[in-house]
Amino acid sequence: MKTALTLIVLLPLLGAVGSILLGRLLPRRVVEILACGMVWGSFAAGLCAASIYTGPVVVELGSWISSFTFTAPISLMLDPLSLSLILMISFVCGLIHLYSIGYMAGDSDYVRFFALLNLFTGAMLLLVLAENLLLLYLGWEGVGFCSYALIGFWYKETKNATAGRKAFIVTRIGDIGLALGVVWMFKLFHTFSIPELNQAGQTHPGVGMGVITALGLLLLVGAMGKSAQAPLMVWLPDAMAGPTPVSAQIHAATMVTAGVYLLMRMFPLIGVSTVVVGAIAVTGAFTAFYGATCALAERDLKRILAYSTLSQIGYMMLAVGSGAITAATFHLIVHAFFKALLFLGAGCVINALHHEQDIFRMGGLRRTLPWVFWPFLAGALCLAGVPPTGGFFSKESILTAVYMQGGMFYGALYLVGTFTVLLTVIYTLRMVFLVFGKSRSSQAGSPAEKNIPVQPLPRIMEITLFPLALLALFGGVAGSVLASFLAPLNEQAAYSPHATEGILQGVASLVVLAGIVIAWLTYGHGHRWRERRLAAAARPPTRLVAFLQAGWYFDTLYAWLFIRPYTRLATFLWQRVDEGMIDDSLDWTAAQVGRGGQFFGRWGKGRLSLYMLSLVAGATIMIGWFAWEVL
Amino acid sequence: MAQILFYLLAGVIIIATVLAVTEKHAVHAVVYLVTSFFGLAVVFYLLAAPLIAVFEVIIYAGAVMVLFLFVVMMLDRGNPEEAKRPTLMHCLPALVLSGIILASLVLLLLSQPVPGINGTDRSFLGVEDFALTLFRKYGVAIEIISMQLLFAIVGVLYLGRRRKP
Amino acid sequence: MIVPLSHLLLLASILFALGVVCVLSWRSNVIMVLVGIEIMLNAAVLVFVAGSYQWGMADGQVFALMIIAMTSAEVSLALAMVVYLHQRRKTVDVDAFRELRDR
Repeated sequence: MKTALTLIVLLPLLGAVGSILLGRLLPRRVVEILACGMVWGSFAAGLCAASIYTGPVVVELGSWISSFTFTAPISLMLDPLSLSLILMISFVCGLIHLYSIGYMAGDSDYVRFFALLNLFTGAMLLLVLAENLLLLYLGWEGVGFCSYALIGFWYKETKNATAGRKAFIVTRIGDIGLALGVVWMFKLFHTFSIPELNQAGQTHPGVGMGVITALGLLLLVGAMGKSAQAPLMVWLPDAMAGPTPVSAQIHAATMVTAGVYLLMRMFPLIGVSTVVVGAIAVTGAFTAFYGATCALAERDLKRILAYSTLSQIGYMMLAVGSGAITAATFHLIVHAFFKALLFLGAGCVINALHHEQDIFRMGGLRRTLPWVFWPFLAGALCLAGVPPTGGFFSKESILTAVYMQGGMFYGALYLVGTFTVLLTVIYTLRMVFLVFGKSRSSQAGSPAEKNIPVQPLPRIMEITLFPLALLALFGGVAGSVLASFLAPLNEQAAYSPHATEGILQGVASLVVLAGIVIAWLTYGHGHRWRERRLAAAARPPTRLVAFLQAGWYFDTLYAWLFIRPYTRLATFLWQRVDEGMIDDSLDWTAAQVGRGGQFFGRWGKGRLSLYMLSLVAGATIMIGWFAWEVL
Repeated sequence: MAQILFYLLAGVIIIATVLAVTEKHAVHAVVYLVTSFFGLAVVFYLLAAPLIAVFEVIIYAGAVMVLFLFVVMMLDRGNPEEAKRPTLMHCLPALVLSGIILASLVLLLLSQPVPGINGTDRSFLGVEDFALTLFRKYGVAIEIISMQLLFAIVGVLYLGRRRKP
Repeated sequence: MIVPLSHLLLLASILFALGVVCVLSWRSNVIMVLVGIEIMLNAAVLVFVAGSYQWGMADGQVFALMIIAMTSAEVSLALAMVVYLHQRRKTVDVDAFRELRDR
């Protein structure tokens, strides 16, 4: 077990180090095979660990920091939650590594790419397996750094570098909350170890509900930053400037779920405070609604998927906020599969259309890219939550849990969640119809219809879509298995009788059906409304659409609230204080010294009258001194 | 009688010197100075030094000042009435310094008690005494002074030689 | 003693101060500077003669003679130089000759 756990974390990290050191010396194929091999090796080690898994186990690998009572050993913890997550992470990351071989085929910077991708995988696995909060924080920071480096991978364009910086800074704001929480917890409980913290909880002397609430809110802030929840969600749409495999891996499947994972891990400690739980639920519900509305108006294919990720993680947070850890984990895993699938499919489409990303300029790809269309459709159905797919069951279980909590607060959240499901279906199918569907009008021409050949895709990019599609579709079956596996975590969820569950499932199916109908009418093939929509898209957007497209103008708000005063202060300090006061005072002093020197230099200029004056002055001083002595 | 004369002469000397200092016409200044020297010579006579008085008139007022006049007139400085007199601001450091010197000297000289007179009250120190002191005690000084005059002559001749145009 | 020594010395001091003023304030004419030097030297001669009168010895007068002789030598040289410089630069301004300055 110890070997297996060590290998899980160590292999990708070794791969990263190896790529960095030897990447330029080895041929390209070797580097690619090495990178992928490391991640698949990690997956294999995970399977080994799963096969010999008997119960939660903590493995200590060594000592990392140890000074007096401040100890943080390198210890890994395997329990149902982390086991399921590491299997999902290593599997999805492995597929994405394979996909990247094809995607980055034309790029010469592949060494840096694969090294960062491997490093990221290693950090994420470390985060999930960490037994103490300090090690978790190490993994947290590691994934944050890799995210920054990979978003700005094509850094030579300013836009990409700026997006990377924005991501880093916004997540950093969240990280402050997490760091404060971790340190405060150490000060209160004198330990970093997660199991110990979860058990200490409220019984610890000097720790009241208020302190727990504060701790929970701090952790929530950290989760908000990393998982791109409101109000720290502004970085995720811009993060789509990175390569598509990066978006798939980091910003769909794994890193953005780290915040949810953190809350799930620490739930026994912070879950006792209803304020914290309610705050988590509200954050999740609001972000879900926000993401769905913005995705409705968005034109860029990857940004639609980014907003969709926001929305789905909001659902996960909502689940955690209702105490249903199992539902949240289930949705997390299934979401990883179908969102990665959608992103990889989007990458295929974008590559094929020579990097065109506006969906209103696509169309008709169903015939030209059939190998991409069917998996993409599977993923889209999953996202929409159409009944037999895994997505339906996961989302449904979340909404059930919310409903079963009861009360007006959770009732309102249930309504918001259900309405968001409607919006989700509409925007998902809108995306599918516009990208792949055919249009009758000759005006909305796509490259396929005009008989312009699309760029052929590397085979490997299409092959990797299939395993994900299968997992997404049939994940519903795995749901019950997962539920029993994760049962120990689920103490706080309310028990739902089967009848209520059936009714709620029926309600959800009706909502999905309604959404399908609306989307079909508006965007479907051969309908008048579609032509109207396409025509409207060609014109400048209306106020509502512009509002949604700009992400509810949150960017502008933050710029006005924080960035402008800060830049003004910085400019003031730079120009007036640093240059004006400090530099200028030094310059002034130097000038004065120079002037003093020049003033005294006038003595040696050769003016005879001055020499005579000096002579007499000297004599005067002597005579005056004698006279003074007499006095 | 001699006292009154002395004080009158002192006044003449000082007034003449002041006028010499502030006069912007060089010839006028030199003439005023000659007047001052004449007064000084009479003071010397009153101080029982008739030989020095004579020397003062002959050598100082007669030769040196005339030499000054020669040079002033030779230099042809144009119209001296149009020249600018040094202003008060101009002279301020000079006045300050000389004021301090004067004050210090007065303080020094007036504070010391004067040692008593030895010897008789002579009103006249004759040529004989002067010559005896000069040639017996200060013979070397005479030689040196004469050599200095020789150097001066040589120097002046060199400086004033005719140069090829 | 017709006059106390201190009065004589006071007269000499006044003359000396006047000489200093003349030297320092005539920057436009070097000849007036030489005049000032003459005044100062005369004050010194007066001091010597007064000393000789005070103590009845001829030594003071001898030195007064020395001063007079030295002055004539010095003045002749100085005026020769003034003539020379005036030939070169056509000016007797004191500040006009600066070739020996610090560079």
